[in-house]
Amino acid sequence: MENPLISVKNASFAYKSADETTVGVQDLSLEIDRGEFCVVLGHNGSGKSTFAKLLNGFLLPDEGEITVDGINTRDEKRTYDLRSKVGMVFQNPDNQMVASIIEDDVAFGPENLGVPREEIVKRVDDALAAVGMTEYRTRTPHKLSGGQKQRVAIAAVLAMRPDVLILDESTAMLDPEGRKEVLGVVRELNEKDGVTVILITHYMDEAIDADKVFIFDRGRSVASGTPREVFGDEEVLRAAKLEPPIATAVGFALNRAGIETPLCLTDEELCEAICKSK
Amino acid sequence: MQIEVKDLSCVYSEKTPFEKRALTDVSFSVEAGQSVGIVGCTGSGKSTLIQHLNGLIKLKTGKVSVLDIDLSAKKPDLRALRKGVGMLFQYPEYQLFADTVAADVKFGPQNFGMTKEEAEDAAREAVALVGLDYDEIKDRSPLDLSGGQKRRVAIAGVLAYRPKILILDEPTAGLDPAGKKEMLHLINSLKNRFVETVITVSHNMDEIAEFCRRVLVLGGGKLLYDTTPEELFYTCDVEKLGLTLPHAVRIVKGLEERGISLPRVLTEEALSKALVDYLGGKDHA
Amino acid sequence: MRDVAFGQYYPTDSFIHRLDPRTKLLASIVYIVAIFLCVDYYGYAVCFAFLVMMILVSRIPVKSVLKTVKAVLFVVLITVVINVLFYSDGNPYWEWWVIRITDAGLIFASKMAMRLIFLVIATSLVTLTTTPMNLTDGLESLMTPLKLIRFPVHDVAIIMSIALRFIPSFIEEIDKIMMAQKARGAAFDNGGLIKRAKALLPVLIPLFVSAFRRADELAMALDARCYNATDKRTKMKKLTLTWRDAVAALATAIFLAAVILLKIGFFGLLPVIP
Repeated sequence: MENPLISVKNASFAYKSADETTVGVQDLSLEIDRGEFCVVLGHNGSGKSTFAKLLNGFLLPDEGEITVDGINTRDEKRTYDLRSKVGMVFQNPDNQMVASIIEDDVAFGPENLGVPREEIVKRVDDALAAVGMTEYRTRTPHKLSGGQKQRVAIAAVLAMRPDVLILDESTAMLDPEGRKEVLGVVRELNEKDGVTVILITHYMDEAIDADKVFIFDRGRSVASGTPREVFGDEEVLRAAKLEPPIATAVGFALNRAGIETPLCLTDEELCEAICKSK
Repeated sequence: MQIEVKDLSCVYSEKTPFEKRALTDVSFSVEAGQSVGIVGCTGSGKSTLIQHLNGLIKLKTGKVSVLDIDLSAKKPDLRALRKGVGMLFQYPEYQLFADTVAADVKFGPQNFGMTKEEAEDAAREAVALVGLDYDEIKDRSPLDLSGGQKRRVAIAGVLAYRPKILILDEPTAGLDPAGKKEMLHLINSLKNRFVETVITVSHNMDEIAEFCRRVLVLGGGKLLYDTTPEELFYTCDVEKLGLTLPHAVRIVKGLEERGISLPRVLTEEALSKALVDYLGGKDHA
Repeated sequence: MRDVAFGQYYPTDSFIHRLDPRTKLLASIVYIVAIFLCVDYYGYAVCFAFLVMMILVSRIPVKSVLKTVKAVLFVVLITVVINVLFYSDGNPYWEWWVIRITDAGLIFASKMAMRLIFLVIATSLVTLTTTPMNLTDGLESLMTPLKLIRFPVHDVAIIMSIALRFIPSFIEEIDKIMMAQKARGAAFDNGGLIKRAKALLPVLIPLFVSAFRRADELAMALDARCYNATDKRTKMKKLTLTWRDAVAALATAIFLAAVILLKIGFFGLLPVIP
């Protein structure tokens, strides 16, 4: 078995302030393999954002170890190596852009890493092409839609040639069209270029096509597996305060009413299942 | 009619190279007591439309009359208008500013002429309505609260001056599923006992299907449809406008294609019930 | 206001627009020094001629150029009035109490006015012909020698460029906050100065809070993109000097030489004037 790209072993982290201590993650252990499309589901406060920040060294675990491609996040000498491998896109499309011109913003990462000029130009070209924003390269970010801004943010991270792309609730502030745009780009990056993706979200329908799903609740991973394995347990979902996709929820309701229905993740699956039940 | 809009048009940056037609000949009216949804792609004119309803955008072309205040008059009584039309923008928690929650919630009432005592009572009532403990929270800084609490305080700040009409711009934006559910319940509860008319602008078709009795669809600044959610989602071609159908509707339509005919439901619960009836399962609690 | 890049950049193509920003910045400094070197009207005439030439070459409509003077018109007027009325040297034309209008006073006032106006126009020409982004790149490049005394050149440049990037965002946000507060009955155009200032608190406080929040999130994004990873930072866009910059430098040098020569009397070849 190949070594996992990301390995989290018994990691714990708590936010300590003057008055109180809030648990971020508790005794968290999981593994993510190279090339996987993983989704971390959880309600606000479940620890999923803490998890993201632990992965790229923003936060260091109080206990436990986290390694990404052999680099331990505690290794201060290799923090920037780590961060160039683990690219992160945040929630607010506006507050990630540094420059007034898009291509300058995408070049920012490689510039910081001291990449030679000609190489930067190539990376910027490739990154913008990968997210479909090449024709906007000389524009200001101000007039873009939320989905377009997030795509630029992804390009800005891609320009650093990361192994892992973490999206920390990057679709939460977008309208449905923007969400579709961003998810489409991310899926393509995973399928075509083999980028390992960790999508952190509270929308269960974004996890339907994932390779692996983790459900977080109160700082722990309470369920993990393929979407089918994880979505099937109604108890766990309700306890984690997640809303299953409507097709899945209807399936649960039918089963409760005594009509045996297989697990349905999409509307089409439900329709098929009902046809067969006739 | 509580709201009457006739041939409303709005152009930004007129006669400059940046001219943009935000609204063209929009006409509709709303009776007291209705719950109306306004949908449309980004850029379809939704924000422009609602900002005319409380006079934030000056009326230039057309007639708008809200709560018997005619906005085409020379100097419409904007104060009375804004007291009667409570507007909650997206991410309303970003407008909190006062030292204490009480002071922030009382800002609206005091601007609209309530005395100190009246404002205090109004604030107490409003904060309770949004599910928070007034005595516990009134002296805290609004900036110290959690995101969910902040949003509720912002809503309380609008409810405190008892508007008859409540306009909400994407009230569930940025909330997780549990948060969305709570917010929608809250809004529904207001409609049933407090506010008379609720207008919601939203991108979420499932929410619109469940909570609105009437939907206005905007596209390119024009009012394209003015009908019930059922009519809209089952007979009109909304996908061509870039809008998605609610899941329940998609499932019913998918079953229709496969030869199974179900009643035209809009929500998950109604769909489950309809399917249980159709497939003949036993009733469950 | 929102559609034009901040700093009144006037988008057109001209010789001056195409100059390297460093050339423009340095030339404007030379011009400012030159103005202060001027003593008599010959000097001011040369400054005026050079300025007019710059305006013509820049292809910016004179109206737009003069608009920039509007901002300081008040100061210019005050300076002129004070100097005309109270300048003590020279032969008086009219006297009353402490007020003395003298010939020397009128001349001095005119020179002061010209200084101010030429100064404003010269610096405006830089911002009118250079995008804010370009200006910050130019400033960063010029500040590079300061790295030797450990001055955080790149940090300052990034601060400037981030500030520029967020100006339109803040303008939009002010709008949104004002609308939200207006909807709650706030009024921003009533009452005297103090009342109006107080009325702005419901706008300013959320704006500041939002600014801090943005700064926080932006700092994380900077960290995530390895800002400060290495001292050997590279740049994608290079500023390159071209023949235009050589020509501009030469023209500026000739101009400066002329001013200096006139100041030291131009070999006594010209009649002396005030």
